[in-house]
Amino acid sequence: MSEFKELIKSFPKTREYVRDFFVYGFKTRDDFKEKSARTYDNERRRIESWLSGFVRQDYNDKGKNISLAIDSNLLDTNPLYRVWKTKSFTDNDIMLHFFLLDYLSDIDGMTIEAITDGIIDEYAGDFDVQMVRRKCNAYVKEGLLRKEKQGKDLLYYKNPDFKDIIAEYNMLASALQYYQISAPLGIVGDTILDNISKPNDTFRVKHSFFVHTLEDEILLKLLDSMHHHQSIEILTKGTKTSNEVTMRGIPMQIFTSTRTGRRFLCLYGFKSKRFTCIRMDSVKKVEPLERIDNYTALQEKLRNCYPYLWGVSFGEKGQPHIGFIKLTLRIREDEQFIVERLQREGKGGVITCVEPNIYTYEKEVFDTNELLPWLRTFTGRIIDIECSSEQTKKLFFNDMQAMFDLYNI
Amino acid sequence: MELFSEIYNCYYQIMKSILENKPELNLDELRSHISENGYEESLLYLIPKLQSGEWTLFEQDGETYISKLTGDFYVPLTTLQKSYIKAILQDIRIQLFFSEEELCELQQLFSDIPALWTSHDFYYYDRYSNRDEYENKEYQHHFRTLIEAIHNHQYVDITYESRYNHRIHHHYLPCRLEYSIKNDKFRLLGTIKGEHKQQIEILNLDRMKDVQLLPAYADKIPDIDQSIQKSYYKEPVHLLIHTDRNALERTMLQFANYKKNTTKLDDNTYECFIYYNQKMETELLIEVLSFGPMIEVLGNEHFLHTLKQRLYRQKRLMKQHCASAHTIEKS
Repeated sequence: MSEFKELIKSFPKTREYVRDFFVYGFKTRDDFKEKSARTYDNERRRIESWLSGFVRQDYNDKGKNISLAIDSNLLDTNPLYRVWKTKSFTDNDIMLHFFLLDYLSDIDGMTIEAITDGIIDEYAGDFDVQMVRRKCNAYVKEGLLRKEKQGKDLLYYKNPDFKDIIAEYNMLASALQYYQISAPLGIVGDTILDNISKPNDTFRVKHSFFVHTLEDEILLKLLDSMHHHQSIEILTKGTKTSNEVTMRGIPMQIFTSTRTGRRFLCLYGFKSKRFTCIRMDSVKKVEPLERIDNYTALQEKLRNCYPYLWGVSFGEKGQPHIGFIKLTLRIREDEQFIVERLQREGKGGVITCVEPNIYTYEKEVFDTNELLPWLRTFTGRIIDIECSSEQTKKLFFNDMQAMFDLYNI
Repeated sequence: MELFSEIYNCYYQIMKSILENKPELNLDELRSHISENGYEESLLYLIPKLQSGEWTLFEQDGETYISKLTGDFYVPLTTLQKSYIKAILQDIRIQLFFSEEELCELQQLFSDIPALWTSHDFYYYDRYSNRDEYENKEYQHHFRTLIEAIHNHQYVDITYESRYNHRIHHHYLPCRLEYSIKNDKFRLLGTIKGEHKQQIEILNLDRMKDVQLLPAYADKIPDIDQSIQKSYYKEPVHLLIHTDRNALERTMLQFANYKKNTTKLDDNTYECFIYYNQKMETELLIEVLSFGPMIEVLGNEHFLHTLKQRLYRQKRLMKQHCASAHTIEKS
């Protein structure tokens, strides 16, 4: 049996395990039927090690149950960022990292041969020119070093220290502390804070869905294609089924819910010739294809859809495009906060006070079904619902009846 | 631009902080540093690497490990990191941190780098529409004053307008600024000066009328985590989640923000306990209601009572007014 290691070579497999533990937080070994027991044990041990302090263990009749107990109200950073810092490396990788960056601190441009000799003299070690060249070129690619041709020589330089900028603009550290926990790709901000040793001690965040970071590698590729107006091929795997589907289209935007924790890729599908939203956690692979000429026109087309989008549905293909919903509510004079809720959450729907304490809210949308969860939040105040979709209306009242039955009301 | 790269590896960070800050240290100090900053099992991997000399980052002099690096070691920013900074410099909230002049200078410094993301890349389709006014100079001033106070453990004098338009005036010790992604608003978490209970007060920044630094300092910031945890009701909300309509996955994701504990009862039913405090109660109730009959509330008694009251009111309204409900019932 191979030796257990905390570090891993590739991220995608681990992403699924961490997501399951984080989101569900109740899976036992038996629940992971797709994988072998040893794989489960190793993955579990790694997650327990990376996220120690957040792992909770319970025992039930089915065995040991581990879950992640993460209370986002109490956190300065996203604990799942730790998962991104687990890439394995060789002994030479880590030694060259420190020796190379240290050696080039005081040197103003050097050839690979001179750097190799210098490192061996200064620090001792068994490095050859090829090894040092590979590392230098990798670091040029990552942006830590730059190379310039001088005459026949190719010289390598170390890029300047960020601490000088931080010293001059001291609020930049605070800005990084805020953005790393509240904005997309916060893991990158977190690595900068690692660099400057300034962990967040100023900000907290509410309504942040930490699990999104697990999709950040996919997100980076999508953003790159979006910025370059490139079409893509994506491979998706259903969250409920294991069916894999390949699609081609144009990535338009990332649709994010601040309430439900879901994040979607809005794609203009080549086959369907319409916009569609795909769960980000179902996207397993992204391949960029060719540049698209009419990208700006498509962006405009998407913007024109905003007024009718409640969530992520552009309506059923072939169905009449825009439906309507009218909600009648009883709101007492001392309950103006409900009117305020309609204003700030109602996405521009028309609010009318039709008679004292009676208000209507009207909205045109692509998919009236998407309003149902929001409508239910007004339970106790709903007088009537009118809707272009009989099915939506029926579902609402049937669910309400089911609630009455559930609680013997 | 690789995100999953060894450059950001936890072990690299541990070594960096040791080599940077402690040119000489013994094995116990090494162990303690790794335990504090590494993963749970990092010690088992790292100590043998250093002890055996496989990683020649230190010279060993008896029991002492001496760093081979020069004193002012630094790791430059990667292109990915620069691109991230460029992105945040274009965000609307960045003006809370910098003056216009500073922002121009910073943007100039990162002018040759493409932004990793822009606000146009994301569409927050259910975010509230009444965000704080980040462009407001007074708001910006309050924000920066509060950050300064948090860093210096300094008391501030805040004049605040409550929801009912009452003016409140207290001396506070600011502890944290809390940002809500859903509301797109900032709130201050702080304590009132002189109160022994150290209860956390929450103040919306957009309701602050004046914020002044006071010449008074606290030795340390109170442990707000302890205060928040103490504020949770002893009895969590007790839910049964039925798996129809993908409700399990939806609820687990939506409630991922809360401290919770979930167990499987049978293939179609899961039991979930969610911890909350008085200030979170209405929001949690609304979230539970949004799932309709997919979630069944079993307790606590107070939460269940509030939920039932809403349902009673709803049933009464439907009986009195709701033509649609009758039509559906009959059909």
